[in-house]
Amino acid sequence: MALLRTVLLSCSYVALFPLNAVAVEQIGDFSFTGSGFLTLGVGHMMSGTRGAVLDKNCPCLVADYAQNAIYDGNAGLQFAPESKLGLQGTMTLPNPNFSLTAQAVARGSLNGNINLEWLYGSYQLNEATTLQIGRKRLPIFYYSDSQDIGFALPWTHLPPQMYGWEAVNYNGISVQHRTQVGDWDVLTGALAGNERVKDSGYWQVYNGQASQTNVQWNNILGTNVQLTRDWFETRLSYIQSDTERQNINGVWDAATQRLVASPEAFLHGLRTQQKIYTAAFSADFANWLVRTELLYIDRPGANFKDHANRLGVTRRFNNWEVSGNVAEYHGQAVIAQGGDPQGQESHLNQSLTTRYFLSPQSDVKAQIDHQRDRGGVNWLPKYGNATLLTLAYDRIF
Amino acid sequence: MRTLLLAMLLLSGEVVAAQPAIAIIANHDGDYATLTRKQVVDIYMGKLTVLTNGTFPQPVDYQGNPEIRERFYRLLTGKNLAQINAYWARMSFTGQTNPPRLLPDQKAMLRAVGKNQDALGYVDKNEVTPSVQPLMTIGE
Repeated sequence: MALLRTVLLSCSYVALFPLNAVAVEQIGDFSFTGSGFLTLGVGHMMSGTRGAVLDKNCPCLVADYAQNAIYDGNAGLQFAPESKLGLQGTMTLPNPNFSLTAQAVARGSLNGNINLEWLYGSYQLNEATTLQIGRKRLPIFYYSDSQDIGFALPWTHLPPQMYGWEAVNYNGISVQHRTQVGDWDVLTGALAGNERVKDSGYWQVYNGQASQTNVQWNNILGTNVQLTRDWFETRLSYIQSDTERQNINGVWDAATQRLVASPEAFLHGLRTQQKIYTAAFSADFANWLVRTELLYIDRPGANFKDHANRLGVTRRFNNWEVSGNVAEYHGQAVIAQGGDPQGQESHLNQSLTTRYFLSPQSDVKAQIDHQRDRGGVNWLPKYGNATLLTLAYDRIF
Repeated sequence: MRTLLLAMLLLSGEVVAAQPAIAIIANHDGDYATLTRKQVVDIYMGKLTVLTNGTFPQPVDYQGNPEIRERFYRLLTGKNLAQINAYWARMSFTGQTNPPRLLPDQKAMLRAVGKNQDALGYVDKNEVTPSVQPLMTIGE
């Protein structure tokens, strides 16, 4: 049903935008631009650790934690986890320095339901500086901004070890400034805001599909800098926030006809701060692209810290690309805070992707993921090992 | 041996029909005297929005996938149009920067550059008219 809904939505919207170019409409001094992106993805679980985990029939591979996109061990083809359709509209006002942008995405993993992912006003303070206010992606990682746009990615899905987090958007304000320092292109940014995730897909991965968890990231502050020179690029980012989690315990209140929420302390306090450090380095030289990303999250007072890293290599051959990627995540127990070294989550993923550009606006990809669960003996849920084949068709319009 | 070399060249796709060079063009009043090839790349990839002389370049490009556009990006970046579009998909769907304004053909490009002081464009070298200032030639 989810597949049918997503495919029908995809076909109808693609029919509305049959041309390769973006649609532009001018009404008086207002200019409207429409564009979009589509991914039709399908996966088949090849092998892995068999067994029931929470409410899943594994082997299982979590392709996107935030969207609860899980390939499981059920026979046959699975279309829902990664198929998606996005539509973006931008309206430029009579003052051309000001524009409004909205982006909505329908996902197979959410039964084709449409979510508003971006909604922001953009003001060009000058040619080098842009101020944006509204709902945007949280730019934690190199590909965070473009995580839904399959055509912008060399893979069928982002490496989940690096990109799997509970909040991916925020409501707030950001400023970007672009300049030149010697031979370096320098892009700096700062942001501030909040995010509330209702019925978090991320926590359904850990607590089961029937669970309901609300997540709040308050007082988000962040900064990043991107330095580019010829074939070399590096991006450094720091984001901090207060974080809180609330489990819905399922007690039904007949009077209000609602589930009663029970505030649960996140880690060791109702309000815990997290500090997220990331770094990315890439070399894009001739037909080779080598990119590595590193992540470290520190939560003062918590009993574990997060580490993730990945290394990817892509070789281009005219309309073909071949990419290999290794990504690893592990929790580090903080023993002084009561952390259990054997109770930490850890997994390693190796993937190989082949991409063929059908046209300048579309591609097909085939990817094999081989994931190894290296979690401690006390870690649950233990999804185990998995080998997954995914195919994707991506298009922008 | 010569036949073998020719066969290798054909297989590697290096033998292509001769194509006209591409001229990077600007308005006669544009302050682009010191513009380098690398700066042209950065301007067309949205990485360079202001020059040290205070000029805010306004690059213009072609709609769709005309052959000159493919050739232009191949010569400047070594990438094909699909790879360039994948790059711009990331930039434009994420609010980072907007792609160059798109025009239908070389006549429109010459007109737009001729009218706008900060515009930067490109046409086949043999299409250049006195209405614009050629800055450099690529693909010769």
